[in-house]
Amino acid sequence: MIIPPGLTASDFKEAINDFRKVVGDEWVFTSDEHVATYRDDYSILRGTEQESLPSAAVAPDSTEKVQQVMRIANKYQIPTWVISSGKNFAYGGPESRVRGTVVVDLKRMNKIIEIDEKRAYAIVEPGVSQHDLWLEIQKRGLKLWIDGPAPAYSSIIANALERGVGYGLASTRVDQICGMEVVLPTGDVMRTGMGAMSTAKTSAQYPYGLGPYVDGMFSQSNFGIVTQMGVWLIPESPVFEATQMHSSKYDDIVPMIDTLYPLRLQGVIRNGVSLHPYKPGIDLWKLDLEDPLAPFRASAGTSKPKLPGWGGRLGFYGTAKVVDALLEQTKDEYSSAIPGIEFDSKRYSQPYDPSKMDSVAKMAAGIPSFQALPVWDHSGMNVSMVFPTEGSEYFKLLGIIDGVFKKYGRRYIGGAIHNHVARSTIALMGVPVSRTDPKVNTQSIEMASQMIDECAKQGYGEYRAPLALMDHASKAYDFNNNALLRFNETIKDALDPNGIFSPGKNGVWPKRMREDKA
Amino acid sequence: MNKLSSAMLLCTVWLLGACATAADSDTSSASKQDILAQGKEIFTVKCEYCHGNGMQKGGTFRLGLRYKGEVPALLQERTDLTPAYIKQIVRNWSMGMAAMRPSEISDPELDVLIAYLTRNNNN
Repeated sequence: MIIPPGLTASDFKEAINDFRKVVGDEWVFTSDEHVATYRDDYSILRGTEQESLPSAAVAPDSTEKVQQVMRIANKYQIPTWVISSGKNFAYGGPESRVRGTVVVDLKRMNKIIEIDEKRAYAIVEPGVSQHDLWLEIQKRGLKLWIDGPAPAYSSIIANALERGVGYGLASTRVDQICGMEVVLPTGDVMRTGMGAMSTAKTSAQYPYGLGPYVDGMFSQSNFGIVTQMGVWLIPESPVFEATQMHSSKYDDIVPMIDTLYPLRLQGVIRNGVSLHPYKPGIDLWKLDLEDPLAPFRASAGTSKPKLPGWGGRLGFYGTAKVVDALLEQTKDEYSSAIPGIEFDSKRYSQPYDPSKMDSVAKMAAGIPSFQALPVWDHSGMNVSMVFPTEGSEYFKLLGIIDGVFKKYGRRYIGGAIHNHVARSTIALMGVPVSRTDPKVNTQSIEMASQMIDECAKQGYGEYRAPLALMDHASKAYDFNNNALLRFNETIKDALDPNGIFSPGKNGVWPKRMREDKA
Repeated sequence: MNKLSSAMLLCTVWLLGACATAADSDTSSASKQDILAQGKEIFTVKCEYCHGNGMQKGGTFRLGLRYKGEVPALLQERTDLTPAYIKQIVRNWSMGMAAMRPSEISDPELDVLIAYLTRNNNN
């Protein structure tokens, strides 16, 4: 049995008993079979000494119980790591940074507290998945959309907090957050925004409240556990058109991005646009192959990889007349920038029947699915860089990554690109992860570290770091001797004096562990 | 499903076991139907979005590819799944399906699900 660092076996036994008194015997998991389900199934560290195997998991079902769990963790100085659904795959899943961590599993906090159709928001707990919320909206017959692709079982709250991206009309998920309830590492609880007033009428309608706007501090962070959150929803569009564009030449990615930028900035294209390598008949996002990335993956020893064309997924929304106009402008501008570009387009109107929608339409309408599953199942660990929305910038980035791949006898020809903040775009660049060959993983960590370093030299940083490289990625944010990291450490020490909550998340370690590492 | 208490599930699973030796009993038969109904509900809530009918469902699609018609792609139509195998798949990563934690499907719920998925095994 694994014991949290610094504890004796008898202390740990006592702590487990205390946890049991709070959540009930059946919701404290200590058996090997149960604890093993808290490993990251896709971990690049799997089976190595660096894999942070947990000691136990505790699954409270209310805010009050989360508070008590945190108080017990403080009493015994047990490192904890919070998960909601634990589906943050390619970035660490449920895995923590410290061996012997007790996982605080919020899956049982699965209440949809409110859905307001007129005001277009929901208030949910962290265990509510994209699928759960979508299903409830369907059940109640509400004319609301969420933006839910990516694995449908991911948590609404955690995905927004991790700054996950969507492909529909709420693709900047972190911007849809409105009002949080947060349990602080000491066990205290607070509400942010208007919810800080106990009588608030607008906690899920006005995000800012009065004074410092602190919600961002709980995103990708280890400052507190979000136990409830308001999330803005999207009024169902009366008509929408889901469009797949594709072009056959590799170099077309440059005008494809450059044409996209003003259209996104002006709001002609409002959905979160995904661009990706494209070959006729092979759809990166579609479940039509065991390994959909294979045609695009240049294998070891390939000096001249076959280059694909590029595809993109667009959505157009509004009344029929508005959709006509937006589509026409988009097609005109793309056709003059990329002669021969093709569009496969299909229109849908209310009342919608998801069973009659294809995968492009489901993404545009934000219907939760597992379409992305085969991609992350095979893409291993993500290195995800932010670049200015310019075609030449993406080519520069590709050159850097290909340069690193070449050192290892591989080539890199491109991957999915997500434009959800018009002015900048995210490039996802997976490195291989093997469940059987640790040498592949060692090499991939080396490659990913070099990718981060080389990109940082040219001004590209990660939008979201995989667990194994969180320290490395956060160090790349180096202005004034990592002033931002030092600021975060100051806050961490103030909020979590015993250093027990999610230590090491995105490179932010509590004081006692910084001293251990020094 | 969230409303079902674990105690009730344990009790009904035990009754299902009893059914094998008291098949003619109306009570046991009713209990068996209850368990299967509960198992079906668990399947609908926790499995259907991936293992439901249709090739757009990831799990069904992948099982179709894997078995090429030797056994049904739809889990609910299988008659060869054993309790130990189902448990193994649910609690461990397999074929692209991430492990399900006991907070996602408790042991008593898993037992009821197993009862449902193995209901036709001897037919």
